[in-house]
Amino acid sequence: MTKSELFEYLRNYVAINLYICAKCGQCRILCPVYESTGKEFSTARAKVALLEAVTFTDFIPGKRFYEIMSQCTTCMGCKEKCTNEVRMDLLIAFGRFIWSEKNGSVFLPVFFEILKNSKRLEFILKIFRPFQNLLLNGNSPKFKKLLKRNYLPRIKEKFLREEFNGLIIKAEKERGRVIFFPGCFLDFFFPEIGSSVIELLTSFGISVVLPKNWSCCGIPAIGFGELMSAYRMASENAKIFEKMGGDLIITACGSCGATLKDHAPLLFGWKDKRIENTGKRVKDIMELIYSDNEFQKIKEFQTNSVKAVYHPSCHLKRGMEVHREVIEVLKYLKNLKLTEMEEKCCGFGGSFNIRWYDFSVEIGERRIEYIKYDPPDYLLTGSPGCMMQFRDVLSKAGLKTEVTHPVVLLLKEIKKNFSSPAITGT
Amino acid sequence: MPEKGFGRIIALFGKRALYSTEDLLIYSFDATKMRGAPHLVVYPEDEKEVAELAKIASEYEIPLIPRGAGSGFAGGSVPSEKGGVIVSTESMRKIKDIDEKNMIAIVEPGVITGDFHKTVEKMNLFYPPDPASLEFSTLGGNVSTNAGGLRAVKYGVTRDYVLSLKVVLADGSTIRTRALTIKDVSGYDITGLFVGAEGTLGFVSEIALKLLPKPERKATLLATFRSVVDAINAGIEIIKSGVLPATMEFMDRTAIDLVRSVSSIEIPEGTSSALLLEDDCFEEAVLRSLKIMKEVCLKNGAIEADGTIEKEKADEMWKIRRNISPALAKIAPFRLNQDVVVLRTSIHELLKRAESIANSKNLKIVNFGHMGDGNIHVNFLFRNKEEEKIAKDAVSELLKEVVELKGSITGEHGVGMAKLLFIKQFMPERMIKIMIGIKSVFDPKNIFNPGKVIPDD
Repeated sequence: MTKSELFEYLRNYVAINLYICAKCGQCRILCPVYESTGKEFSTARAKVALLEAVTFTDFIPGKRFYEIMSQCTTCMGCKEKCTNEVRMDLLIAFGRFIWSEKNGSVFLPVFFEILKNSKRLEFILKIFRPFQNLLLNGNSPKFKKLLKRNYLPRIKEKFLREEFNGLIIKAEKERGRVIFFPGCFLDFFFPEIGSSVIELLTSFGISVVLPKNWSCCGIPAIGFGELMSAYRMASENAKIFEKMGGDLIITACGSCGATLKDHAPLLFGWKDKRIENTGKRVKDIMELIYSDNEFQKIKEFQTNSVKAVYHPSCHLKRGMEVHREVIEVLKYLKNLKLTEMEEKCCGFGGSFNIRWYDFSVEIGERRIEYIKYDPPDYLLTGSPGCMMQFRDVLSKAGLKTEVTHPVVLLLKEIKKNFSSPAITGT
Repeated sequence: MPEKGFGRIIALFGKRALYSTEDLLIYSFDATKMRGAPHLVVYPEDEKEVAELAKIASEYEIPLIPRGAGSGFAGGSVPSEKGGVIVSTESMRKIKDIDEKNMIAIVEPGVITGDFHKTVEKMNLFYPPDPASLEFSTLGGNVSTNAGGLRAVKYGVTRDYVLSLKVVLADGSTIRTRALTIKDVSGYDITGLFVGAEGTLGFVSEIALKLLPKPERKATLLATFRSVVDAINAGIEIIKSGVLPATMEFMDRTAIDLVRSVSSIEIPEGTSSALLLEDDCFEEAVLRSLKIMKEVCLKNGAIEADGTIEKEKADEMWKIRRNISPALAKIAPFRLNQDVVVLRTSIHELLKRAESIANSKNLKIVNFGHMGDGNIHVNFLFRNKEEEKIAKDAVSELLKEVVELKGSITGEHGVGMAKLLFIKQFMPERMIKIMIGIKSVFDPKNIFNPGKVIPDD
């Protein structure tokens, strides 16, 4: 696929979406950025107006265009409120695509080219790994201050792929088999989520197959408007999944899941049917657990009494449409006192957090406002992006609440009920 | 030399003046999709700044277009072909005071209506006007369009809650229109002139609103009918029986069929219209009104009339009404939504005539809305540009019928630019002249929102 082919296709897709926008203004109700600025230029319909100008007139976008396009966490809150379901997140991807075409950095495409080939990324991260302490440790407050962040994810001692790349982890009494797609964050930064997924599934009779040399799902590239890179990543993964047969593909990152299931098929499915087919096979880990009655046994297990709050990741809730499932499964833990956070974006938004860090933190701080006075033991959320955001803002607020993925808590709480260690790689 | 004027305005507002092509595009529309680009967008933070701005604008004859959320349905906040300065209220968002004893709130115009509701309700107070856009529209915009809402049957419209306004006039002076007391008859009702003036007389910089005690309980009733006449008769008789419901919503057959599946409540076959009624007061009182409303509906041939005071069940009933607008897209992606208003006793005739206009033009039509105040949303649906033209003709025929039925062409959206032609067509010349006279008293140079409400020629 050439760039101009992609541009032409997207131009039509975007045109339809622009056409159905009624400009009613409802899009601002859930918008986390509008919540901060209170100004029309932060609304989704403002972006629609700009994209109309770009798409249908000879308007040449200036720096302000990019500023406005980049002020979006792609939480899809506008889509949720939109009567006509305008796909604002993808319109914004298109807007950023146009910008990066005209004024993009040289660095980004190179970066995503590296990300596309996961072996290269692994290689680079491994080189960097021994030195990260020097930079990111408490020993170097200056550097931290420079980045303003209280929390940065650490490159883990052992990547998930170092242990499981291309393996089949067989359940003792196999009832079924799924493919598990960990993506990048579960691979390099949060492998404990990945291993929890594997252990939990195998303990309940579901064998887990990991792809060999999987690639990034593409969402960071979409976020930066590098759609050609995103296309290559989606193709790469779709090729791998096709070879692996027809099992369900399980994700434990809302953003990866939303990309595989929804974004990539919509953006690139017309060109590569394999991308579309992949999308149809994707399920979130909590969705799978909810749909499998075997897991109801968890209700009988002895668990600790803990307090947790659940933050619905936007990509999980609005991108994959998985929400009640997570809550229902968490309720299996009989001694868990669970509350739900308001269904609003945490403010992370990937590229948004990098480009507009102060906004991002301001939004995150608003979300934790009400847990400040009675902090729970855990804050659970289904996307590593949200996890990073909450670790940062909670640490800034001096709260000890542990931020983790629901599946990690689930396994931790029921593990002592298992008779023998379940993981045996083959 | 307006350029010099713009320069002075930019100097006055500094970073709070925007003029990139992007920003001008963003502030060039409202919910009508009408377009008109401003020269400048400014965010004043207090009335002094607006006063300074008005002085400069008067000196250079630069139009000032006050704008809240830009969610209007009449083009009231869209600049006319003259352009000018969008005066956004987005930086005037303070609730300045809530006087619990006198039940008065003082707010800036940019406060979002829904936020205001939540704030006063926490204090057990109540601000009744509830336009459908309340989650994002502003009190300033509500005042300037005299916004209605679902609860207008019992509680009236925005005008009924505006005690007094602070207004910046074109010469840079600021007036307070009235005392904050419940009663004040010292002179003309100047406040009333500014409410619904769509920003053509001045910039409302502060609003004093009357509050009520928050009702303890709500009772909700959904009644289905075999014919439109039955539903309307039931509605009229309910009020005659001594119950003035807060809300009395009407839905026609097409509207109901669209939303059958969205709620857990089953709508019986053969339903051709429905009423959704709500009353609020003490629990004992609403139980009594529920009983009366139900009896009257059944007496008037209702197929079913089911009532509740439980919130969950009421929410299910409301789902039916709330989902009509979103569901219209299933029939056709676009619509011309009219907000015509007639006397309650003329609703049936209005619906008949609207239907026959739609049939003659082969257009799809959906009617629903506020039966209690005769404000029915007649929606002509269309799918493309050709049908849009036909739908526009249908609107103009409909408005003619409305005037003949002694109703009004707009009940809550306002005139703006969208209905300007019809004002010219239907309003007596003498009345237009009086409006022009009033305008010239406050704004002799036609600085404030020119090209709206009053026809130019």
